[in-house]
Amino acid sequence: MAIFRLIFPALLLLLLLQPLSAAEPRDAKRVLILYSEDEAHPAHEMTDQGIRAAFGSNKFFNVQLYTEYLDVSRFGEPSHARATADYLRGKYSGVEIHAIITVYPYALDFLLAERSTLFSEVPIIAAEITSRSYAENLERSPTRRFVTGTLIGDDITGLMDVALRLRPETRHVALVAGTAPNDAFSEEIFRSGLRPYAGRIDLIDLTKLSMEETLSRLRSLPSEALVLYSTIFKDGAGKAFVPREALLLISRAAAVPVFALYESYLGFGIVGGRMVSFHAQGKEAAGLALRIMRGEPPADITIGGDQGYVSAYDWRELKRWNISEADLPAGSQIRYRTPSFWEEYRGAILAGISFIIIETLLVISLFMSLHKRRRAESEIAATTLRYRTVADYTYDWEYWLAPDGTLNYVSPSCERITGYSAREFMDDPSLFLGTIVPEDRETWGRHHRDAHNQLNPGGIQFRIRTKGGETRWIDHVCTPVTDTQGKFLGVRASNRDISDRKKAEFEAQQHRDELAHVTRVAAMGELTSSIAHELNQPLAAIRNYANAAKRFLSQGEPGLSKARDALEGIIRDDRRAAELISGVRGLLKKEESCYRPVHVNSVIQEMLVFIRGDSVLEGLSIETDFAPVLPAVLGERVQLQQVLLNLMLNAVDAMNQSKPDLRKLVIKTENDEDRGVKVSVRDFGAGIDETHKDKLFEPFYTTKPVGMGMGLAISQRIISAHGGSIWAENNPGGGATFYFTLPASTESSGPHGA
Amino acid sequence: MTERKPTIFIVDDDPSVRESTELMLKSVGFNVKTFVSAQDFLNARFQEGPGCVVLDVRMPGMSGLELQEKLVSVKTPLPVIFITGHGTVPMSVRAMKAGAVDFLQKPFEEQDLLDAIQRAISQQRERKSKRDEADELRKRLKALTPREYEVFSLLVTGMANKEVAYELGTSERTVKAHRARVMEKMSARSFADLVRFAETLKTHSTDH
Repeated sequence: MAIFRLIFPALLLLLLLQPLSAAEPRDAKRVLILYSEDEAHPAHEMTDQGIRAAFGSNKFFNVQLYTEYLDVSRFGEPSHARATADYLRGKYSGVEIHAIITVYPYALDFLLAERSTLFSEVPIIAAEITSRSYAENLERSPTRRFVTGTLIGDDITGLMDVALRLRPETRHVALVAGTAPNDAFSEEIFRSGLRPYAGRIDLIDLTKLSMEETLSRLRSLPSEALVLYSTIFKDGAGKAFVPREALLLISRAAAVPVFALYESYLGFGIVGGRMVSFHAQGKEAAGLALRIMRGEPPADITIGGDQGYVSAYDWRELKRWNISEADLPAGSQIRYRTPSFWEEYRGAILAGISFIIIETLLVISLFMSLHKRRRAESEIAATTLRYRTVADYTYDWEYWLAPDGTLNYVSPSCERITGYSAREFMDDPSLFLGTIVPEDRETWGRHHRDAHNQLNPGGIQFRIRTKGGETRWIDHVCTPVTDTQGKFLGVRASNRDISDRKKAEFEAQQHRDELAHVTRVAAMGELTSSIAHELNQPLAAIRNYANAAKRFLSQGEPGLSKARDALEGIIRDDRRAAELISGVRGLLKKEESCYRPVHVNSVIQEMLVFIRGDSVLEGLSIETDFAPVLPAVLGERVQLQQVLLNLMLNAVDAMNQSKPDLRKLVIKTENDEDRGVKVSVRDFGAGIDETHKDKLFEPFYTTKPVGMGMGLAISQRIISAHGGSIWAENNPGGGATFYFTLPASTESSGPHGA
Repeated sequence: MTERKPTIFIVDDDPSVRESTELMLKSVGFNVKTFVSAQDFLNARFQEGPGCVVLDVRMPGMSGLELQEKLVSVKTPLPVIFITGHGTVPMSVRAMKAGAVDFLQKPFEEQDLLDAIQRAISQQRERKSKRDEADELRKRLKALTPREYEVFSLLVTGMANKEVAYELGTSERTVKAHRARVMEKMSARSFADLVRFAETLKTHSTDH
């Protein structure tokens, strides 16, 4: 089907293009054709086709044809001719005619008679001159100057030869002709043409008879006869006939084959033979007209022409008279073949078969394409299902936002996170923004703009209010979507519920804050003791000076100047003390430790969770070796964790230079026989310089390039406040281990203050 | 022993404490010398003499405790009294174990320091007299013949004459004769004196 759909327009296009491509600028020439008989005259029809064909294919002029029919057989009176001339004169008064073709002598005669006032000086081609004598007269006439012409064929011999060849038994030839002037012309042609056969065949004269008689005579013709049909425009009874229709009657009546000289009779009951071709005559006449219009003087062209013939036969007549096609001369055309079913409908059959084959192929291909489509559809369905499954079963809340702000896709997991269903989001694109808490909308808006400008905005975090009114933290990442041509198709986003993580982070932060607070408290404790130390200096001095002054004064006169020195010292150190006091800022609130029974293992475990991911501990492996059963100790979780953290940070520092595989900590808990619980933190670092061992726990003592030297001092303070002790030992195999003990809560009456 | 007036050496980086203590001790009548650091004091190379060191524990550079350790290694150390603005128990324990006379917290009572100084001076004096006695005894010891020294050494361990004779492979009578000569040469009025002398010598033998 598709093929036809393609071919027809292509053909149409070709047809349309044809005249266009042939359209060259050609001079316009107007040619008048003047026919002697009426339009229905078969020979004229053929002539007309020949003329038109010749003009149509000429490459010199764009010929416009005008045709006029004199209809002389019905309107032969001179008055009528004059009226016609007047009519034509008026009709063509404003039209320049470049050449006139007259067909049959009558038309030429008519024209020449009116020529002084009708188409004067227009060259004339007198086509189909029916007699040689007429032609000879014309040759001698002064009109020859602008007239040339063609002779209609009169070769009876050629016709007879064929007829006799096909019917060798022929002894009689019946000549049939009418009584009209035209009938006389052609009868004369036959009579003169038959003269050479006078001895061989016997002429049966059936001319100038009434039609009835003619027919009756034809029925009784002997079998060794044949009929030559000239023309019957009018029968012997004066009845007018169209020669072809007359021929039909004659042929039907005739007991023997009928032959005629003119091609125009083929198909109306004659066998055929070598016949005058009016089509060829018309072409020839048109050829002469063209030559003349191109400038050749008519007088230079010999009257006569080629007298075109055609060898053609009526297949039906051949069958009727049992004439074998094989006997026909070479090059003969056979017309009116009543084709067999196959012959007649070969095209249709072929078309039908082709149609069936094509249809079958189409059906097959349709089935195949249907199958393919089904398979493709099922593959698409499978793929769709696969991708939908991938999308729908994501844990995170996924969506695809189109450039126009609508949602192409929302994963069902949104309901788990937001409480709203995917449908609710799809139906109301503004819902998404609505869920975001007002404080975070600006952040979201900025990010959203970037995403739609395809800036690859990365990720943000924001809070949403769920359908149930809960606040959740969302970690949002998105990426612009483009098709293969780079067209922006929106934004593909993934939202993860990180509320738990945020909560843990918050708690960890809180815990760190607490640790920091403890550290600060302890540091302030140390600070206070430093301040006390600093303050004790002037206080001690003042007391010394006072004692000295008192003693010098009791010595009387000699001691006075020294007493004054002492008093000045008192004043100086008093000022110093005052300055020190005024310099102290940010006094601490007194912290009250809250001791509760705690399990050391869980305290350690909890701390390890909190510090996980802390960059300081990166690359460090922490092993734990916990005693399965330990007594509870009375203590403050956070303070104990502070001690552990301090010990671990020390260990990390000690292992700074260690190989990566030695960067390891072992935290061990065990039962301490008389003291409750013993905790140790073992490292694999450089160990402790024995000479510094005593000072490790002193405040402001440090071997590190940075640091206050407070960590271990604070740790010691905390542990001793818990009633335990803390110490360090070098490991036999390298590195150091810090120990601390804590009394079991059942055994201890409670910790004492530091 | 007729003795020189004792000198108190004050080592403290804090000028107020240093100067006020100096003035206070002078008002009482002591000779006082002050130093701003431990190293400063060591550089002065003091000969032995009556007196003591009043030492601040925490100082820049060498700490008081470190200085104490160095002083202990000297033949006749000056007694040390620590004064500190901020002392800890381990610190004081360590100081006392190393032979400090006292460990005072600033601000200290004048009397506590004076008592400590008094104790230090008498301690030093006692040590000096012991050391002088030991020197005298050592001189007397050199007058003994080798056999007499052997007899002396064994007798002071508590052996009877008979046991000493057996130990030395001689007669009890001979031992008795040696014993009488030892008593005479050592100027011991009784055997108890002799045992005490031996003890004194033993205590101060490390000085040699």
